[in-house]
Amino acid sequence: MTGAKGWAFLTGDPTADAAVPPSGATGHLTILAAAAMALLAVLALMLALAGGRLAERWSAALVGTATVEVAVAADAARAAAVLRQTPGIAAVRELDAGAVRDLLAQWVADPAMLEGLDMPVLLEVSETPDLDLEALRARLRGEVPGAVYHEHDVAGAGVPAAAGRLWALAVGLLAVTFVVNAVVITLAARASLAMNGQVIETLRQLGAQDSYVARAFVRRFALRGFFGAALGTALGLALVAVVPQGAAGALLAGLRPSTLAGWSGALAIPPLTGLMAFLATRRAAFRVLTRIR
Amino acid sequence: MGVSGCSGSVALQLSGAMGKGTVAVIEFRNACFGYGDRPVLTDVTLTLEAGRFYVLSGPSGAGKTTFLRLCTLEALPDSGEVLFFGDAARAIDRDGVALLRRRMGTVHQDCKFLDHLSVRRNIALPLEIAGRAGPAQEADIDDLLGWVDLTDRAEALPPQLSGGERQRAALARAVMLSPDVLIADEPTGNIDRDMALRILSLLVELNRLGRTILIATHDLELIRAAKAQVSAQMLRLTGGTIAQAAA
Repeated sequence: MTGAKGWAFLTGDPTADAAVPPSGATGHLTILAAAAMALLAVLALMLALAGGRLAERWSAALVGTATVEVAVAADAARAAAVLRQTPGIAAVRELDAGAVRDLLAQWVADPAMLEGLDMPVLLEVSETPDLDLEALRARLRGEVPGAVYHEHDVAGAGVPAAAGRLWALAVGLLAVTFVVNAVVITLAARASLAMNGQVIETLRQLGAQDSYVARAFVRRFALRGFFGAALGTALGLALVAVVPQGAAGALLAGLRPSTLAGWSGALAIPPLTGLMAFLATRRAAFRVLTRIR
Repeated sequence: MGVSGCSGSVALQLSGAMGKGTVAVIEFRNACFGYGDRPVLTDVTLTLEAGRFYVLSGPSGAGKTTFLRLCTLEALPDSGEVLFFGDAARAIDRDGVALLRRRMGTVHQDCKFLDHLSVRRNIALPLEIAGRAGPAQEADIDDLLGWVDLTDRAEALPPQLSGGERQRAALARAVMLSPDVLIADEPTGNIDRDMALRILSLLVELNRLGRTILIATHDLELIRAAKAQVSAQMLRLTGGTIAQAAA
């Protein structure tokens, strides 16, 4: 569509528009369906973005870190010394008893259960890529028996993968909402075209070219799709914006995008829906027209 | 639609007899048409020439409306050819059909109005479709409304019109683009005698302005009136063939 044709499409042809009778309930249902689908699309998009952010954050947090567990407190200094002498270890920090207790408290039903238990000593380690892990493990076994080296990126390897699956699921959901939207608009357009078979026949009899007839229907349904989707997008964004972030148990907590780009991604939904409605209705209109000479 | 049997060639050349132009507007060459196994038109050959007045008659169910459908490109012959201004119907693409119809005004039996538009808008529709509507054309629409005596019904909706008013409005719409040919299917069906004669006089007036007129009717009184007012060429459709009746 050229610029001039695009502008003509948006401003419309009053005569072509008027030739098609008002479609009443069908029109309202199309707008409603487009709005509902756009709302779901916004939520799916936000879920996809959140999944992506989560996967990235978790991956970044896990890669390059490890924990060394020492059973006896007296071994902690020796283990730390071994670690600091090892090429590929950037930093070593011993967690104090409170931090260890807090860490373990997350894994037990009642933190009071930890009272009276001997807490392990944990050393938090930052690695660099040149670390020879096997050599380090062998040295630790030799010099600090009982010390265990836990790699976070191995232990938590499933976490970013799960976040990635969440992202893929959300993208799939987004695609499904667009497909359903296209189907709904196509069905509505076909119903309208079928209802107006006599009108189309009359217009053809009076010398209307296919483009004239199609234009009235296509423009009507494209704009309905666009405005319905704009309404649904606005509602969806409002819903995401008002849900308290980080609220315990909130279903949508964490969905709110952190950047302007994240928010603006949703703005593509109304024009995409309009474009989809344009293509779906155009195809339906020309199919009907080929049956009328 | 299946190909119906073509038998018995009836060639009818409607040309020159009245000394008018010899330009062929619509030309049938051995055209056959049928619905399924039932042949309706068999081997029709005739030429409709510019500026003439044709009256197509025949009993109900003889195929008058089918013949007119071929004349308005609503249907294509199963075999043979129909030519419009020299171009074979089969060779005319969809846009070409639309442009051709702007040269051919049609009055259908059921008038085919857009019921949600006023009479005025319905009459103006061919102009709007052709992209020729504008303030300058408003006077033309007023003239046409006056010509068919519907000025005071201009803003009425088609369902609010009487049978005669509908036929006159359809006639006004058919001539909106000054077509070369006007085709009318039973233009006086279901209306009273006076109104039928009024419509006939409008058609005769158009013919005197040089338009080719083709009307299909089984109304004998109308046929007699037409013969009295204009040198009408009578076409009789029986048994799937068209014969020229005595004028």
